Amino acid sequence: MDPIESMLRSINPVPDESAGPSPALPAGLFPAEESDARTGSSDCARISRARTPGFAKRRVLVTAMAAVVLIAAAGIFGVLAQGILMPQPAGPTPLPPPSSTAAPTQIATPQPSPTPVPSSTSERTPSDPATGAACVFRNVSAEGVPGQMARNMETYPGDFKVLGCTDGMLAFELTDTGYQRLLDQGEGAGAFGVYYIARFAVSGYKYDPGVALPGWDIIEPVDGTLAEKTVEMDRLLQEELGVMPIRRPELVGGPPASPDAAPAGPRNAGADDPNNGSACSIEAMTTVGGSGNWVVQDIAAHPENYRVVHCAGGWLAFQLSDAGRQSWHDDTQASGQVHEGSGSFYFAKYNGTVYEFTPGTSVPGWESRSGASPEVMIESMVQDMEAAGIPADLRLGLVGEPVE
Amino acid sequence: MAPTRQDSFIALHEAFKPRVLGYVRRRISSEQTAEEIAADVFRIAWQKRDGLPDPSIGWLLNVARNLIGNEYRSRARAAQLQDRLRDSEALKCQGGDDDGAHATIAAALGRLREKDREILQLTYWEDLNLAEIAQVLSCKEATARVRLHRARKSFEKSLPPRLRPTGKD
Repeated sequence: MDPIESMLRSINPVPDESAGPSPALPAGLFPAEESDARTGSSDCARISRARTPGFAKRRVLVTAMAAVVLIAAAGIFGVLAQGILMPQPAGPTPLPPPSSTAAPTQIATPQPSPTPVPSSTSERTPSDPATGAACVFRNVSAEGVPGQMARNMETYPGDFKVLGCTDGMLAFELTDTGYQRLLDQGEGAGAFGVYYIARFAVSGYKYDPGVALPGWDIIEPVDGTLAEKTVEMDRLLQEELGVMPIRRPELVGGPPASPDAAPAGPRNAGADDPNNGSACSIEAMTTVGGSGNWVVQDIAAHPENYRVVHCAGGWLAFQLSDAGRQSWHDDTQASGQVHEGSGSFYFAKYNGTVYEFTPGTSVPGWESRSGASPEVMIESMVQDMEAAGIPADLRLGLVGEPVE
Repeated sequence: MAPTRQDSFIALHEAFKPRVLGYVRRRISSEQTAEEIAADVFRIAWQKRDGLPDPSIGWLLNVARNLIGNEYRSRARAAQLQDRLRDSEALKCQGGDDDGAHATIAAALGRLREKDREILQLTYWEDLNLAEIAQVLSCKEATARVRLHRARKSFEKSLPPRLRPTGKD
């Protein structure tokens, strides 16, 4: 739960909807032939009782008294049972575990464990072969490290995903949510697809802000073969961290085809021509609702009329291809109806399986903004993207810069 | 045997009545009126069962929202003012042994525009997702997403620096 959510929930004046009396089914709700006299009178009685002003107060009082009596009885029985059935320990009474005495905090923010969580074979938690510590994010601390990224590690540990551990190092990356949050905070530039490193210290793993490696999604050569990417990753790990290639699978897994390091979805084609990518493509897209929408109909009938502009941050930007523009003009002339601008950018959001396009998730393209300065064009594009519900921080990655 | 429409409606009532009542009680200071409005929501749902056999929580809360609006409009101005003051005090009274943090948070929420405050309440008090919020507010889901994003930013700005998650002004 993020801090804002936590704060707002904390001031909910009716936090538990079961705290008050629930309304009975309204009288006369059901047809007469479906309710007998007993049911009818029961409903009336429930409504009548619920609406008596003193009823709720009396019920709470009676419930509280009953609870007190029950607790007292249970306590007496427990003491008697302890005394009769069990001998008292000779030594001092053992203290309860620390967790049960911890004072409640106003806004609980998850903190990494002060001591590394040991790996247990029964839990099947992967561990660092060099340290034996569990390879989990709660063993990572960013305490004292400046920057938004480090703050998010303390505040939103769920924004990070551990890749692996070896030689006293733990590799992790941002989840899509974490990346989006960092973008929202204005600190996400350059964070996409990056692998981060925490180094083992006495009290656990400590985030090393000085190391940021390109992940499998963005490592050079982007269009290269798996073997080429692997060679480059091995070289970087050896030069930057001193990790031998034989240890690489334990830290960052293998290239995407390998099951131990499958990348988290096609977040970004990262290719010069995204249409050559298998995931960032019109074929990987579906439409949601708006069956009467011209674009939806046209995509279904003529996917070749569209081309991908780019993918970034879980979004796919696309627009009419040259053939699509011709089709748009032909249809406009034939039907007399003016559809959405032929130069529009359309956006589809990745849902974990496919990119989903919802009609209306579009903005006018760069052409319609020509005549203004590049700064003004960018500003208006950002405003339009925000209004359409598209993260404006992804503007550069999705639609690039204004055309000359 | 397939469930009858009455069975389905009873199941709907059981599933959603606490949420509908909770929604109304957060906005109406009179417990009795809140119960009546919540009952009216289900009465309307029952009347509309032919056209809408399986209403969503978003639809139910949209009806509740309209009924609450009618309630406010039909009351005398003085009564409205008293209710609002009581609601405000109820929020402030959430804080007690927290060094006034809850009161500060409530005040920050109270300073927001009605549109911003409403979407935050729908999200964090009513636990609605964006599709459901869009249904309550009769807007697109994408619009709801943007409005929620902006409302969160506004709320963060209205907090005193010591309570801001980013710690920035």
